[in-house]
Amino acid sequence: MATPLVEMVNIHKWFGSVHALKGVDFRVDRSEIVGLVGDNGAGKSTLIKILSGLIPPDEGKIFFEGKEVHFRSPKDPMKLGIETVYQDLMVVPYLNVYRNIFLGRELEKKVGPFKVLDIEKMKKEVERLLGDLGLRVASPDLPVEALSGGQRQAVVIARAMYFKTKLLILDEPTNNLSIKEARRVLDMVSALKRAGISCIFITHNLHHVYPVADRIVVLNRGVKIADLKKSETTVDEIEKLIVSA
Amino acid sequence: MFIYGIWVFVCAMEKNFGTSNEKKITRRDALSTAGKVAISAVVAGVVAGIGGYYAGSAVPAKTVTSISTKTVTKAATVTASPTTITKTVTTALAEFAKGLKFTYVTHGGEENVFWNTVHLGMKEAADVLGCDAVMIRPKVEGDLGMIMSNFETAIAENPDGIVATVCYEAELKMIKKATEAGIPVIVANIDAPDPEKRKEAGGLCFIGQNLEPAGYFLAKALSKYYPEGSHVLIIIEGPGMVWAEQRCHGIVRFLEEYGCTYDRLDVSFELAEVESRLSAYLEAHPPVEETKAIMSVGYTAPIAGKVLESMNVPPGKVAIGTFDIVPLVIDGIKSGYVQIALDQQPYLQGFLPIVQLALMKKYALGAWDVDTGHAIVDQSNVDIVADLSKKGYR
Amino acid sequence: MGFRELGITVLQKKEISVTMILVATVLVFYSIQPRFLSSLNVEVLLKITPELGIVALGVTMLMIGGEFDLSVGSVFGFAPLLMAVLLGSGVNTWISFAAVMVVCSLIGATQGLITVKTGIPSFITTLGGMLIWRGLALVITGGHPLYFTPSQDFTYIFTGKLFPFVYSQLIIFLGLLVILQFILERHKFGNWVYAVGGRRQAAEAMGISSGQVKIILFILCSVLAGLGGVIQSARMSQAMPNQGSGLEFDAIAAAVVGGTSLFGGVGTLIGTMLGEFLCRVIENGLIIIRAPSYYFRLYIGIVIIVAVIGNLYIQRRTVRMRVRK
Repeated sequence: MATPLVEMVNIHKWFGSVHALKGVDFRVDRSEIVGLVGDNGAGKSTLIKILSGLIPPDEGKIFFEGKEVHFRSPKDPMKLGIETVYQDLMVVPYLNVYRNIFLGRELEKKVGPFKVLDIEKMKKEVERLLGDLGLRVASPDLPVEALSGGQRQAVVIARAMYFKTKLLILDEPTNNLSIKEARRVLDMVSALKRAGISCIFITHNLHHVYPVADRIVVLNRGVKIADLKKSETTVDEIEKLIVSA
Repeated sequence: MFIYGIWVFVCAMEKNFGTSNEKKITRRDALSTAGKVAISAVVAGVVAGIGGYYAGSAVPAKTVTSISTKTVTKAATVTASPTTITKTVTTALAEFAKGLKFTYVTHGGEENVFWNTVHLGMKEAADVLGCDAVMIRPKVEGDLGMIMSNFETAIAENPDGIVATVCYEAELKMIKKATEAGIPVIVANIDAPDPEKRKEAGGLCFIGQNLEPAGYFLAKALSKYYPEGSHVLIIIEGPGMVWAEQRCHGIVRFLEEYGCTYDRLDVSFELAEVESRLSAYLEAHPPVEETKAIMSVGYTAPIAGKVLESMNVPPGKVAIGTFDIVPLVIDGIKSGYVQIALDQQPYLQGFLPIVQLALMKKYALGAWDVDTGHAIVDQSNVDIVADLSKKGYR
Repeated sequence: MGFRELGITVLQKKEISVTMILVATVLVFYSIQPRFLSSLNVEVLLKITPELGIVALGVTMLMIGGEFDLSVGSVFGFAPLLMAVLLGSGVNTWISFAAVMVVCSLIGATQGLITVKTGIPSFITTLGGMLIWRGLALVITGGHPLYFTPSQDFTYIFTGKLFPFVYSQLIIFLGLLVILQFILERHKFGNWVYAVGGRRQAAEAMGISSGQVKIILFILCSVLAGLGGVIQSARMSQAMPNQGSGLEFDAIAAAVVGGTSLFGGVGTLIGTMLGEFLCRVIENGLIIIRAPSYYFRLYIGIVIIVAVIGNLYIQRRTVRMRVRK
């Protein structure tokens, strides 16, 4: 079998005395869409926060393309081509759309010996990007707090789409979206797979993830209780697994 | 003018009108928004201005109304009721210095009670003479930056005369600037360390307590109560400040003549601090056996009375002398712990400069120095002074 | 751009509220006493505002980044004292100045490191700093003011009169204002400052080290506070231990009036400059119209509230106006 894109082995995480992740193994192959499901408190968000570099694991290892990696800050996975759309949208409400999208990775141009923000370019890129994704936002100049929940979601997805190269992690991405918009996101995810980019898709909505996923991983109270190929299972079965655990 | 500007602005926005309902609402929003904020801004500004103006406007000449009552009683067999005839005599007080305005630039902070008495003197002089006087105090006591900018602004306002305290030598620059702008300046309360320099800068005279002689005077007056060769404690509430060091210098001069030894205790006007440091000192240098007298260059020596009381030392055993009249001092004298307080008569430091400036302006008379600083308050006159002090006059 | 577009853009500027109040106040004072705008008085205003304005710039940037520095007043007093001591021992003016600036940056770095590493709110760390640096100042001087006598050219460069109305400190202030505002608006560091103050988690999720950003801001704040103090002392030829007492609140008030949010993430330096001018205009104006100085606190309090309400109100309305377009 080919080396997986990402492999997390025996991940443990404690928050105080709460054992949030108990020796979880998690794997994503190239060009694969993995649905990560489970009830509240299962540890899904924690697992991917570790993969995004936000928090370190207490025990366990992470391998990327076969090599062991240690993420000290979110910048590390970003450098490797991993992008995350967080459940609590990590946007700065007072800043406008393009400043948020390019936060930390601003586009710059040279003016004499100084590097300044290339605002025109950032605006253009954002307009193009949003257009490509079919996501409507009135103007890239608007502060993000002026946008509706769905529009904000669109912005963070756009951000991840702009920078991703290898792996896209989506934590409840369709939560605030209209039916049309949710459909678009799912189409986008499928398109990614065709382009060779993998995706981890966390959601409560099994009906959303089931059609597009290749594999489904079920977590419960910090433990992985199922890791099934889509062909091996159905939505009902997965639901039963989650409920009965 | 300002409101007109806003109106034009809004009309300009209206030029771009559309027919859709949405746009109309937003236009109205804009109007109401801009209008509301503009109006509230103007109102705030106007309230500020007018309030201030009325607060500071010249006090009109006071009218004195005296009523003389004559009662006429007719005694007669016919029943008569006493008739009261009331004649009202109205006299307008002299409008001696009408139209003149003077500014008093001081270093005393707004919480400093001493300066309230000076302010009272200044106000009453202004009332009596029919002119306007205003006192400018820095937000933070003794902050040179604030004093200097207050002073400069006062000069820009171009009053008919300025009274200033020379808390820092740097203020002489401002006195010079005022004099060059044609504004006469009188120095009060604190003189420049070198009076000659003050005169050169244009400070015409000094009205206040001559600090060094005052220190000497206090120590000498108190010496009735402590023997030669005693050990004395001097409390310094403002170490490094001109007024404190000069008074101390005077005290020390007498003590050295009188063969005494002395210690300095550097504190502040923070009464709790004074109390704790005094206790510590008196523990180490016991009263009566060692420390026979305590003097302060400010008004905190009466705290020693409290400390002595808690050490079970009766009043009169240790001589205590202090400067300035504040309720603390009055209580100290009444209780018998404080023998002498030296009053620098802050009322005069407010009253006299205004009088002199008015005379200068009206009759081109010259200014003259006044030493306001040798009034002794002790057991013999404390009651009268206490009463006046309550009213803010002493 | 049509008028409507222009109108919205203007109203959307956070500084609009304070500008309107400033203009209104100036007009009111002028109408009561025309001497308010006499050349002499305008010069006074332009002379005293920069020293405090410089400090307010640093405080504002730190506030945008989501932290407070209550020690600026004490550093404002401590820096010139330190420099006076060095000058008194015969050290060259420029070397003393450089040394003092380095000390200020160390002060800022220390306060920043403690705040970032331990998680103690900056309010508390700098409150401690306020007492420590003021205490050090008193210990060094024993409460006595010190003479502050740098070399002639130093005094001239920092406080000299260049043209009528224009003193060097004004140029320095405006220069710093332009540079720092440019960084805030057009440089990626500025974006990071707004992000860290606006939502620290989001900034960190995008890989920005909020700790580093904040420490830099703390250093900037302390250095500017020291610079302001040195300039004032150069102007007065004295360094006093109680110099700058209460300055921290003055700076925060100017920032808030100018549209900076106490919660971080929002603010501009131009607004702070206007806020600082407004404070000085009120102070100065009350003296010019011969009002007792007690009124200053009252009016500044009213102005702060009116300005902040005005800011919020306009922001919300204009954002909605934009969106409806």
